[in-house]
Order: sequence, then structure tokens, then C-alpha cells
Amino acid sequence: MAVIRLHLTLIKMAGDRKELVVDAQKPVLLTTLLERLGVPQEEVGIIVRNRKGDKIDCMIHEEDVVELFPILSGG
Amino acid sequence: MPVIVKVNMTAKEIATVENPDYKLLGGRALSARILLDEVPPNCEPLGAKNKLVIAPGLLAGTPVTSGSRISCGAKSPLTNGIKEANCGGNIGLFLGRFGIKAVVLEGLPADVNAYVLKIDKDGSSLLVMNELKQSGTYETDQKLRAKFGKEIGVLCIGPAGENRLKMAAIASSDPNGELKFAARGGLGAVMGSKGIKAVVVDKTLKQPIYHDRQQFMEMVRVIHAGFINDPKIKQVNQRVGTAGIVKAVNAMGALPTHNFRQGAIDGVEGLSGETMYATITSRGGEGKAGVSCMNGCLIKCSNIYPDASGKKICSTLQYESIALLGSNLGFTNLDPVARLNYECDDIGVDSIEAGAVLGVAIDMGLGKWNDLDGCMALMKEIRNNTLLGKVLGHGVQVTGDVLGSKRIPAAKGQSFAGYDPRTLKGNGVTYAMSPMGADHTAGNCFGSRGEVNPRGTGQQGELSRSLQYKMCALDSLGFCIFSRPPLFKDPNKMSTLVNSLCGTDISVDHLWEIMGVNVVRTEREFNIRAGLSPANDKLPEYVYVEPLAPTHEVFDLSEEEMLKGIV
Repeated sequence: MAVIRLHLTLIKMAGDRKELVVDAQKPVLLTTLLERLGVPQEEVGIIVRNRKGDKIDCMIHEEDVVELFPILSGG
Repeated sequence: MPVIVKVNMTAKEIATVENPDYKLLGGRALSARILLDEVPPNCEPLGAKNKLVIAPGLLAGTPVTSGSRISCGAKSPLTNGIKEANCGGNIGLFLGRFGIKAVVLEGLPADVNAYVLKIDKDGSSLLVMNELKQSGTYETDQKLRAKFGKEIGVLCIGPAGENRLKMAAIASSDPNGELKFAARGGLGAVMGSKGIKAVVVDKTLKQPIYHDRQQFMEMVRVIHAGFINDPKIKQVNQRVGTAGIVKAVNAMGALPTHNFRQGAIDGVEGLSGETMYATITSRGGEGKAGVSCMNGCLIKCSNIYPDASGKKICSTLQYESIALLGSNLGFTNLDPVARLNYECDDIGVDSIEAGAVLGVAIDMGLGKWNDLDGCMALMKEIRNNTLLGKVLGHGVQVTGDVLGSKRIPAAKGQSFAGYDPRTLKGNGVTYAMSPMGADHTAGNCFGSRGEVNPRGTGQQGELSRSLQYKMCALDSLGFCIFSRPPLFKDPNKMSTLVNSLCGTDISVDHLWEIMGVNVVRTEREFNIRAGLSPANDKLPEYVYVEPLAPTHEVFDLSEEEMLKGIV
């Protein structure tokens, strides 16, 4: 299984879901998961997969932990 | 024509000059130009030959949102190179409305009086106000408001600036009576060396002279509509502000923790923007989120953080302070961070540098992690200007050198900001290669929308280089870097504003060149003439060999990649 965690504005977009566990025995595109969740791709600014920044077209594998944040910048 | 007010502190003379060559320069661009034109780069930072340039951005005084920041520039006592730091507050707006492009403080006073420079409709004057000596920034601001009126704009220094400590900051009063800080590079010490405790500017309703006011206002309406209709501004910026990135940086393994020994901390939730917002709203009282730090700012990312009884602890609590004064010192609760933040603000020191100083001090045995009382005791040493306080107050490089640390998180003498360069390598390039030293605002690669892998070894130089000149353009125009996403989406908006204000016909490419590329190159030239050769463009050696938990990354960019970061 893979864990997808959503943060800030993305939670509401995903129907008030903060975290979901998905079957990724067969690797799946992040964009496919976002579509299923109803989160527009362009709203996702920062993708951290297994503590490493990744891109929107990444594949999600079994045991992955993925954190998704909206577009943010530091002050 | 907008003027420059020159204040000679040796002769106590004030002159007003015009310079048509500076027509398109404001904020950081103007201070870089004046410093290269007028200051010998090899001068002593706290000596008579250095100058402090206080320059509102080019658009300051106009009603465009988030566009009236005040920029301070000088040769830095911390980096020994050129330094610029900017912040919000009222003063940029009022100077812009008065048609003042810059105030330049020069020379050194022979006496030890505390001077206040007062600017109003009748001109500029110097007042002796020794009753402000050694006052904290908050007391100074309150006394000045009591004397000159509640709606003035104030720039002032605390005891740290008066005592010429190298991490001293300059405070700027905002519309709510809170303080914002041009914090980095020790510019408060330069102000202190000039004998100036504060600059006070009266509120004015005067308006800048527009070449085409109608076109300017039409573009302002377009920009404002974009900001108002952006749901992220209301749902993220106005709730969690910059603290919204705490968990993202932690997830990437780049959050300064225990003096940059780790890149993530257990219990990060307690430091998150979400927790901050929930705490502010549940405690109520004086606490408030969604506060503007400049008149008319639509982003409103500031906040007032209260204690359990609802009484204000500090304003504003933001990401860099949470990282350096929080996780870096082992805290996972925002209350002690807010207490330390207030202490930094009132003494008048940079909270980033102070957090790095305390981290190194604790690491070297002068304290314990997660110990507010111990940290406050060290801050008291700085406030009281004791021998230990002087060491700490001169910043992380001096502190680390004196204590014998081999892990000093600094570049060009200035502490890293809230991103460990081992896991956000683009910021490592910015820390090392920018003329500003380790300052994230000089080119923050965080949040670049997945364009570049933060831990990859390629594309980091180009990413940093591009951000260095683009952020510089914002600094020169007077825009807050939080306005970056909507403005960078269509940079024509910025060139239209400039053209309709100044009567020019510059393209976006010209705008980047004049306000960004040329400025960073001017700064680099100043540094090279100051003796900061390319040999100083580096990070401390430990980041190349010490793996950072939990990602086990080291800083491993090639020399070739680093050189791509030079603008």
C-alpha cells in the first residue's frame, strides 16, 4: 500500500480527506490518483515522495509515502 | 523629480539632491548603485566612509498591493560585502508619497547622542532624543508615536544596533503598531554607528507624480482583482502565512533541526502553520491571523500570536523564525518560539541569525535543546551587552569561532536561513554564490513547482541564478516576495506599472535586466572590490561530508554547477 497525505487547501479539494491509503502493487501515476481525488493538477505545488521532492508525472509505488502541498513560498 | 535626502552625521548637515541617472532605480537597485558610486568597497563597515541607504521601492507611494516595501542597504559588518534587507511597514509608502527616493546616512558623529531623523512636509531635521538610548524597539516605537502621532512611519534600532552588534536589525512600524524587520546582514549596527536611533516620517496623503495615472490605476485594478480572486491567498496566506511551509520543508528533510544536525523533527505538527492558526483562533484575545504589514496589502500573511490568556506574545510569527528559533533549538511548541521571537525583535536582532547563534551555542555546551529558560538567559546576555552577549551578538560565525565549533551554518559570515542546503541544493547555490551571502530572499529555490529536483545535482545553478535576479527585481520595485506567483505569471504587469509611472517604454526583458541582472552584478562588483573574491563563494566544509538525517544527503554539487549560479 502507499500513503498519500494532503495538506492545506488540497484537503478540501479532496473531499476533506487528509490521508488515504492506496493499493500501488501495480505502480500508478500520481496524476491518475489526483484525478480520482478531484484535485486539479495545477493546484499541487510541492510533491514530496519518500522525503524527496518529485514531479507531477511521478509514479507511485507500493510502500511510498507521498506528501502533497499547494503552491507555497517561504517568507 | 524625486529626491535623495543626504544626512551627514559628521557635520549634522542635511542636503537634498536630484540625480536623473537614478530615475528607474528604487529599493535594492538604488542602494546598490549609490553604494558602488559613493562608498569605497574596502571601507570599514562601521566607519565614517560607509553609508546606510534607506530606499523605498520604485513603486512605493502608489496604491499597488504589497508594493511599498522599504529597503536598507550598506556594506555589511557581518559579511564584509554589500547587503540589502527589506521589510514592510508604513515608512516606504510615506517616503514614496513625499517623493523621496532614498535617505542616505553618512559620516560618523563625534558625539554620543541618540539622534532621530524627522521627515515631514516642512523637510528633514535631526533631533536629539537621548531618552531613547538603549530602549527596546517596541518602547522606542511607542515613545515616538506618543510624541509625533500614531500614524507616523518609524524605522528604529534596539540596543543591539546601538551596541554595534553584527546581527543587529532595523525595525519598521506597520499600520497596526507592530514591527517588521529589515533583519539580515547587521544593518542595524550600521545605523547605530551613525548615531541614528530612529527615522520618523509623517503620514502624508501626497501622491506620486504619474506619467499616465489612468493606465497605472487600470493595471492596479487588474492586479488587485487577481489577488482578490485567488482562493489560496484567503485560504492559505491569510491563515497560516509563511508558516504554511513548515511541514513541507520537514517532509523534504530540509528543516533546520538541532543546529542543522537533522533535516526533520519528530513532533513537527506542533510548529506547523495549521497549529499556529488553530492556536491563534482558539486563544482569541489579541491574537489575530490575516494581518497586513503594509497599508492596503491584500495578502495579509502577518499575524499576532497570543499566549493562553489571549495576550500578545509577538507579531509576526513566520516560517524562518519558527525554523531557526524552533526546530533548530529542539522546540516542538510555538509558545517558546514566540517568546524568543519577541526577545529578538525587542533587542533588535535578526531572528534567523539569533536562532543559528543559539543552535551553535547549545551544540557547544552553553545550553540544552528544548530549553526556553536557557535560551532566554543567553538572549539576556545579548540585551545587556555582556562579554558573552557581544560574542553571541556578533553572529553565528563569530560565536562558532570563539566556541571552537567545526559546524558553523554560515556562508560569507551570515547564517543559513530555514533550509538545509544538503536537501534543498538550489538554496545552497544561493547561499554560496549570491552577493548577499546565506540569505534565502536572494533566490529561494523552495517551492519551484517540481521544476528541479531539490536533491538532484543538475539544474540547481541555473534555477538559483534565475531566481536571484528575479527576486532582486521585486526588491527593487518594492514588492513583497509573497506577491511573486501572481506577478511572475505575467511579468508584463510589472513593466506596465513602471512605464505608466515613469513614462518609459521598457519591456519585461529590460525590466529583469535593469532591476535584476544589473543590480546583482553591481553588488558582485562591490564585493570583489571589497576583497570578497570568488574564493568566498562557498559553503562550510561540513555540509559536503556530514550526511543529514533522515535523508543522508550531503551537499554534492560540482564546481561547474555552482558557477552557473553567478548572475
